[in-house]
Amino acid sequence: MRNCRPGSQLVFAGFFFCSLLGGGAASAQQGTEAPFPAELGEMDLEQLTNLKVEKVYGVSKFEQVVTEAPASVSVVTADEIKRYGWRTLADVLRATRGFFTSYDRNYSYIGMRGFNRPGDYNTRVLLLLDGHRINDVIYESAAIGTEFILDMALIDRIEIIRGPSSSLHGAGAFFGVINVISRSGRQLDGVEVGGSAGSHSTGTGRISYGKAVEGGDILLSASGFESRGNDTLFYPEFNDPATNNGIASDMDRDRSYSMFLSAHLHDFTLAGALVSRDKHIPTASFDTVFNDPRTHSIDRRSYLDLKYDRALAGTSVTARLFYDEYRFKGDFTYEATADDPGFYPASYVNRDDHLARWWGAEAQASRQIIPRLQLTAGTKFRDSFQQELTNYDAVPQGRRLDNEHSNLFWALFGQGELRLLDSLILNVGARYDHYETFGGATSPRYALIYTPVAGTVFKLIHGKAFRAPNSYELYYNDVFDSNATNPLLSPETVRTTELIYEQYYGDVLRTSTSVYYNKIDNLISYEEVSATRVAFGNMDRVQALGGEFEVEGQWTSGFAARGSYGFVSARNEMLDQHLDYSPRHLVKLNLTAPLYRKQLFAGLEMQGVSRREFTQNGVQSASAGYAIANATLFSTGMVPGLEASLSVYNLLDRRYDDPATTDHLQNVIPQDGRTFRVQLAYRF
Amino acid sequence: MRGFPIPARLRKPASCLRRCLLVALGLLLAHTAELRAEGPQEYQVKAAMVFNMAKYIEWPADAFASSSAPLAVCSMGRGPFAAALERYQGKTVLGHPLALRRLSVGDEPADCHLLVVGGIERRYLAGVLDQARRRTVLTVSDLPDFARSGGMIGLVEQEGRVRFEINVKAAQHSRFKISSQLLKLAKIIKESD
Repeated sequence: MRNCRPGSQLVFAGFFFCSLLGGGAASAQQGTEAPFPAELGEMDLEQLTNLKVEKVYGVSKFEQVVTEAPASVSVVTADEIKRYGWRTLADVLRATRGFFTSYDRNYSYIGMRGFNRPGDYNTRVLLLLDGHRINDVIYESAAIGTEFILDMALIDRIEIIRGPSSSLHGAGAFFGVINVISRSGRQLDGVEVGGSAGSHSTGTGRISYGKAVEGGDILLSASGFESRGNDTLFYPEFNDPATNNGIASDMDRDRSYSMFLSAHLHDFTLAGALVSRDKHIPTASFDTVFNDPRTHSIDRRSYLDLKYDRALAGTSVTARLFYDEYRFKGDFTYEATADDPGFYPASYVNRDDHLARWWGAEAQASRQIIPRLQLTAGTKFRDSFQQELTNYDAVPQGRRLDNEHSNLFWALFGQGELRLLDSLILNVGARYDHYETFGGATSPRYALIYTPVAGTVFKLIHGKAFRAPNSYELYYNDVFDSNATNPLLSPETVRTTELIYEQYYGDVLRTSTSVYYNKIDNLISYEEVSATRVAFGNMDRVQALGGEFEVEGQWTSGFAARGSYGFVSARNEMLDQHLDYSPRHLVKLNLTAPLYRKQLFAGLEMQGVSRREFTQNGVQSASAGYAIANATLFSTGMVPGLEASLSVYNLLDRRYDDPATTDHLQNVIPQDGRTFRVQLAYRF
Repeated sequence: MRGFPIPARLRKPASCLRRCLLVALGLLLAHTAELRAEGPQEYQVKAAMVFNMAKYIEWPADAFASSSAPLAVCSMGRGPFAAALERYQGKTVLGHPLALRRLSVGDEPADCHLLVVGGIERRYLAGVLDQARRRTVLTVSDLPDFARSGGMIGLVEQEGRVRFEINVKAAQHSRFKISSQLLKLAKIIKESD
């Protein structure tokens, strides 16, 4: 049998895309035919309330009024998550305009607007779940992989807000905000069981219960996930008989469980969430012993959040009281050396045992003062009363370093929206944050939103955001004393100017164009201060100029298409060279086609990332540009209550790499080839 | 430099699987031409409900200049709700021809009898309702928890059908009388719920 040549694959892929688009246009026309319009007006109310209506797919997306937000916003719906088979938030972000990710087989790192620091644990993006901050207080990490706190099946929608939002959200809303909104018990209404099976012996299970009660609703859910991972990973850097010839065997295991509760009664919402994930680390990062099954990391994150939400005589009031915990347990295996105490075994585990507990409160009120002026003001307080960054050797009488801290922080913020003209809104906001460590930071934002005619929106935004040095950067050290701690770190700042043009063509098409300029100062970076010690310092200065264009269409027939291109030129001003890990070009294409009666859908996506250059171990390296495609068949309602999907990731089995973090001996980390997943959900 | 030198053994021969898959998907797509909408669309029904609902509401005596004066239906916010209402422009309800008008957030709902609130940002809602309250305007919306937030008539989706939620107290406060026929079909909401 003759093998397919790559060229013919491309031709077929092209044909496939064209037929999708062509079909989309044809069906779109049929979709606009209004069924039974005449009779509807004649029907009485009782008849109308008994009509089974057809939910307009995707409309909710344009309905989410993001046109007046002082930022470029994308909304991802639960339907899209299902139709594209997205398994994690990282999958969602990879398909989102202007975003890319890198994965080092332990954590996924967000890249946006040309900026990505593998190893930074996503401290520069604020991740919220129903408005509750998910970033912890030690690493400030936004967990977007299998360690994310909410099962993807419980997401109602995700709002992705680009650009600095420190004027509302404070530290960490440096490049953007990802707000995940969960499904409500009312929406779920019953018992739902779900599960999936896929490549690399991956399986998941979930049981959820939702019910509307008098004056509110309740949702309870529990999920489990287990994956053997890719059990024959080869790293040529370790290709030596002493290190299993570079093969990390059965070292990619990933396991997690999570629980979620949300109860809404009258004006109160109580939410609780918990996730615990255990990931083996196959890459021998941090100079650990290669192929040693003892090396793994456990991340456990949980919180309780009580929210009060009420409209009082024309004023919307929201208040929140919360308690959070984060625990990190990382086991790293090392060979004993001459520097270690003489009684140590030949190899031993060094353990990071970090625990943070914090509580806090926030309140916000919004009111129309005069018809053309809406004012919002709020305050926040947080007490991180326990932050332990303990490091010790898991050897009896071994070395141990206790490292405890606590800190308080408070903030005040306000925002005013003034309708200067019917077509022109001025939005001005500012926030003051006060930290015990370095003092205060003020973050202003100014935006003009101009709508000359319905469907056309221009936004001009200038803002400043900051990121407070986190406890890990300030205080982390280990028994090897390999970190020169720097308690005098200052916050890093970003100043952004952005021009956005959004055009809506009816409720069917939307285009979004934006140009931005970012200037980052005092960027906190990692550097080697001696052969054996590293330190964090306010070192780098970065300037980036970029642009993004997106076109998005959705038809009532169920067709949806989205394509985007992003360009960015980012420079490290200190080194006077192109910024490390920054791809200049990003291309995305997403297509959904209804195959049968809005019960069977095909989702196809393509993502392209250009070459990423960086310095690794003192040598100039690069991960090559790549393009990968994923495909999903999704069915709903063929059997009442049943949803099923089949997904193929990396459809064409491309080989591609992500840059390794500075903690690796490897320059690049190869990513998975083609994998499959079957998912089922049944509602009783 | 690549990660998998063993694959010579593990890798499947590059068969025509990919091509077959694509062709199969292509064939499936050919069937999409048979697509038909199965029921009326959500917003057509919601618009019909707004039109019909007016028959079951009694406005305060001073609301209309005459028995044939127009019934002003104002719609606020983006989205398909406003567009779906267009169909009823000029149609008469109990002798009153329907006059449609679009508003944006911040506009006073002056001379509106009925205000349909479509897609607006949640934090504007309290202000919009406050303005409506001061002017005896019947408020209708499909925003979640609309009636609970002080709106009068909420349209909610339940098991694929559109149902009413009515905040009787808010309606009475603005001197509206809602017929028992409509109340019978609705879920009565108290603001403290």
